[in-house]
Amino acid sequence: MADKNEILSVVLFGSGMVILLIMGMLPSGQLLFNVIALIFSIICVSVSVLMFASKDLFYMFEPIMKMKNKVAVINSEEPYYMSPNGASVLIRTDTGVYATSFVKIPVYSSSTNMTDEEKFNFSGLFARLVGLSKDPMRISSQLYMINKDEYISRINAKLNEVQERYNTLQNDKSAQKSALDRAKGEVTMWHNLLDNVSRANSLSLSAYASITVIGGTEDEAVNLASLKADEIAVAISTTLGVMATVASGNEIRVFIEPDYLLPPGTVGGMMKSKALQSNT
Amino acid sequence: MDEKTIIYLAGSLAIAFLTLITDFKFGLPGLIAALLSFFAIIIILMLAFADFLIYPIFTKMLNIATIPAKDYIIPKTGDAVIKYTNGIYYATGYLTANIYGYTFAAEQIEDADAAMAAAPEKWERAIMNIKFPFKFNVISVAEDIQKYRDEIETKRGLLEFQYSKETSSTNPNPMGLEAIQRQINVMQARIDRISQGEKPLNALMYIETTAVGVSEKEAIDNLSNQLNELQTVFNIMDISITRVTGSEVYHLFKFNYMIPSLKELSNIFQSQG
Repeated sequence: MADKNEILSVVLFGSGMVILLIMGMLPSGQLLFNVIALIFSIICVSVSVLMFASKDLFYMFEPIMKMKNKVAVINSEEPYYMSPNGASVLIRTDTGVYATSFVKIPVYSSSTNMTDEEKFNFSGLFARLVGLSKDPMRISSQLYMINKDEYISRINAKLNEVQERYNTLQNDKSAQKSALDRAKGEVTMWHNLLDNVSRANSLSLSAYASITVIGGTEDEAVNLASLKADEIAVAISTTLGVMATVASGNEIRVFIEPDYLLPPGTVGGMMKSKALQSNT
Repeated sequence: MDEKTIIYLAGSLAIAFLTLITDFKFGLPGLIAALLSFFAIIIILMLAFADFLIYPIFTKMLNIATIPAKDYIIPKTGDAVIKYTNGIYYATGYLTANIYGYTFAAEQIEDADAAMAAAPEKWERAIMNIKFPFKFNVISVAEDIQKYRDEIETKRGLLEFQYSKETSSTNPNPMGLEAIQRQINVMQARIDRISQGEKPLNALMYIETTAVGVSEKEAIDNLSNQLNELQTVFNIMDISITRVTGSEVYHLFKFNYMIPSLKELSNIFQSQG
């Protein structure tokens, strides 16, 4: 069945040819006909450009025609939604439901410990990995910022706790000097730890594979994606000798959402310290 | 260029050319129309071979921003996707990273072997120099080996025929002969690789990075810095790198949630990278 853009291009081609035929039949020499020919010519060239543009930019035609305040809206809804089991990302289109699943590839070996032959073999394994699937598969290696929000809040809680203990000891006349010194040391330690953790960016490297399947219904797409993901996980495990597993929930969001790639709390702290540095 | 593009190109150029020819019989208005038809032909050719140049010019001129999904916006420059959430702007940009172009240009299997042995170390060195989030993506599809081999052998046969035709001519061109011989060597190297067990692949590689900022401008500026740094760092791997702009940015944004079919892939990416 022809796509909408194919139908549009046939209509454009047909109308362009008809206008061209009428234009060819116009008598020349009179100003009125010359001006009519100019108008027809403008329509014809616009049709020819639109026809070619419809091949790749068809998705932009409707948003541009309906745009307000110079903003063309292709899609005003969420870019995806999660499957009920949290193992796939779903997109509903006119042609069906697309389900994408992700397989985590834990690779811990480093080239520093490898001989030249081992390095060559490792590259060969990667080449085999890339050629695993007859359907399009994406292999990604992602460097992302570790979410330290929870870790920072734990350090903060601990710091508040020792700070309070230190204050109590300070006010207590009977407190031993050694206990006071120890509490003071603890406060300094947690302060330093908090400073170090907030100052430096902690990055982590992950590798994963992703595949997409199309199904008539949501259930069909999710089941097919799960099957395909399991198949890919087994093939990767066998090829690389690692335990590849299917990602779910927030693990997937780290791979696809920018605010999980750079967690807001961690980024906020980073931006605040950058602003303070530039002020001083 | 695929079959569909050729049909579209032929159809639209036919209308533009016929209009151009017809225009000349209508005096001065006809000449103006001919000039417009000539520009239309140039625009069609640019859309066919360099749409990444035309699209941003169009969106910049008309000042059009695009919303590809809720909370995301592609600015009029068409070179980034911006998400605004939790008071922070996240700007994501893309680079093409054509690694296999290099491998085929090398022609010699020995060179490819050396490149493969050096790859893990180069990769680790590159990673160690990057202090911000990024993704290196390879979308691949294994081809039908027999079909691919048949295609390559046909091409080699055709080149050998051209070579023998050139040598038997009265005045053979040594430069032309050398060029044909080089192409025959490339085809032979590919056949040898398949015979050694390598799988033919269709692959698309791209690098993606995200930068943050308290304003849209700051996020885009930081993104440009990160993309420049990635270009410098990945030069070590002999990868041909180009920044992606135009409609392809929208498609790459969608790839995060849905990997396209081989047909869609070849339709979208013909000229860039």
